[in-house]
Amino acid sequence: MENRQRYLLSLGAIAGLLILWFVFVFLMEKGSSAPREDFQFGTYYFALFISGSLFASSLFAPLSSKGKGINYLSIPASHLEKLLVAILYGFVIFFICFTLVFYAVDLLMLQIMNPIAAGNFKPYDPDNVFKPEPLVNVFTLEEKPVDGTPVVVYLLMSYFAVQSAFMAGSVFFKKFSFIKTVLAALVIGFAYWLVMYIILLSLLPDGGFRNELTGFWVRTEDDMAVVKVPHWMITACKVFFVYCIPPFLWLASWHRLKEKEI
Amino acid sequence: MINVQNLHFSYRKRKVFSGLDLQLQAGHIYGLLGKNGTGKSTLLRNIAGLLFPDQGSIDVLGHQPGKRMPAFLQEVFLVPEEFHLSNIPLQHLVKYQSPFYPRFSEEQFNKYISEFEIPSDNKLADMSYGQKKKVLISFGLASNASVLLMDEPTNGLDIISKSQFRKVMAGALDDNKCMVISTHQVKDLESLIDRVTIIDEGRILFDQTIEAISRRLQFSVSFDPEEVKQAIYAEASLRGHSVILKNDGGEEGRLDLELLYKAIVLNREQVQKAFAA
Repeated sequence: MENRQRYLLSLGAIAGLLILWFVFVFLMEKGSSAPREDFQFGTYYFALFISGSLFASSLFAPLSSKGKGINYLSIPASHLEKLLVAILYGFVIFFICFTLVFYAVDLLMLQIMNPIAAGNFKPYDPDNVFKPEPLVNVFTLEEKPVDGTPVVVYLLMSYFAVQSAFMAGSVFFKKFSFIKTVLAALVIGFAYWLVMYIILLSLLPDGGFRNELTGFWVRTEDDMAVVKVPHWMITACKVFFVYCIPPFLWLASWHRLKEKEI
Repeated sequence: MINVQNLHFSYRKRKVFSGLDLQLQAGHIYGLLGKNGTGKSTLLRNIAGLLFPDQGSIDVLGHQPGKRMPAFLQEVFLVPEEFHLSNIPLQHLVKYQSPFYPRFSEEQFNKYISEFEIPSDNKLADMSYGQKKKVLISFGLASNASVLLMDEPTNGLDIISKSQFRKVMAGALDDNKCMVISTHQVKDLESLIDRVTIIDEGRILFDQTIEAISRRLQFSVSFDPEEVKQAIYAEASLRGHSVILKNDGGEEGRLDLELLYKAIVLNREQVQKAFAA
C-alpha cells in the first residue's frame, strides 16, 4: 500500500525510458525502419535485467533504516512469509508488470513507426516491398536453441539468478546494496575463476580445450585424444547453474533475514 | 511475563550488559530509568527480539524473542524512539496493519485518537512528529498486545499531550498487560509508573515499587542544616534543600523521581540501606 505510488512511478519511468530509447534508435536510422524483432528482443531482456536488478536491490531496503527496519521486523509475520512476499513482488508481479509495460510501449512504437517508415521507404529494386516490423515474441521457444534448450530459457533463468543475487544483496548489505552486490559478484566470480584455473592447471596434463569446455584434448605420442566429461555431470551442472541458483540465494536471504538485528 | 537471565550484550567492542537479571510481571507499568547510553533502548530491543543476547536468556510469555515468531510478535508491541509510519491515510493504517494483531480493537483505537485529539481523516504524512507518535501509541494500546514497550514515548510531545499520554496509559493497563516505559524524562512518568527500575553501567542499580519507595523514603524541602546533614541525599535548590530522608513514620508521601534517580546514581548505598532495614 505505502509503496503503490513509488511502484507506479517506477513503471512510468521504465515506459518513458523505453519510449526514449526506441525513438532515439528510430531517429538514428533516419526513420527508415521500425525496431526489428531481434532489436526488440534485445531491448526487452537488457531492460529487464537492469530494471529487475535495481528493483530487487530495493526489496529489503527498509532494513537499512532504523525506524523502517524496526517496523518491518516487528510485523507479526514469519521470516518466510516476509521473504515470500518479497519474492512475489520481485519475481512475479514485477516481471508481469514490466512485460506488460514493454509490450504496451513496443506496440505503440510499432503503430507509430511502421507507417512513418513505410512513407520513407525507398525501394532500390522494383521487387522490394516494404515489410512492417512485427511485434516480437520475447518468450519464443524457437529462437536459436542451445543444446536443445531454447535460448529464452537460459535468458530467463539467468535473469532470475541475477535478481536473486540482488535481492540477497539487499538483505546482506545495509547501505549501497546495489553497488556492493555488483562488487561482490565480481569478486566471487573472479575468485571462482581463479581457483578453477589454478586447480585445472595443476591437475590437467599437457593439452587444451578447443571448441567446448566439456572436452579436454590431450597430446599423446602420435596423436591427440579427447577426454570428455560424462554426460550426467554436464546435465547436473546445467541443472544446478540454470535452475538451482535462485532457490539457493533465496535460502541464503531467508537465513540472513532471521539473523538481522536492528 | 518477562524473564531476563544473565543477559550479556555488546555492540562490537562496547559492553552494554554483563549479566543482567530482571523479572517483569503483568499488571504493572515499569519505568526504566537511566543515563543516556546505559542500555535502556538496547534492553527493550532485546526483549522485542530486534537484538540478540550474546549470552544469557530472555523469555517473554514462553517465547524466545530472538526467533521473532508471529505468535510472539503479536504479543509484543514496541513504540521505538525512532519510528516510521507509512505515508497513508489513518484509516488505511488500521485497515492494513490491524489484521496482524488478533486482539486489535478499532473502537479503542478511535477512542485513544480522540483523546489525543488527532484528526482521523488526516494522512499520516501531513501530521507532525508528535501527532504521529500519538498515533503509534494509540495503535500499540489498541493492539491489546500483552507486552507494550515504549522507548522515550514523551519525547516530542507537548505539555498537554504528556498529560493526555498519562491519562491514556493509566486507563489502558489491566492485569494481563505489562508496560515498560524507558525514559530519561522522569518527571513525565511520576504519577504513571508503579515500579522503578534504574539501569547503570549494564546492571540493575535499583528496582522497587513506587509503594515501597513512598513508604521507606520521604521527599521534602528542608531549611534545617542538621536535617540536611542527616539526609540520605540532599540537593541545594532555590527554595532551600531538596532532601530524601528515611521515612520512619511509614506513611506514603509524595515521590520525587528525579531526586530519587540522582540519589541512586550518586549515593546508592545509603538508599539501599533504607530498604534493607
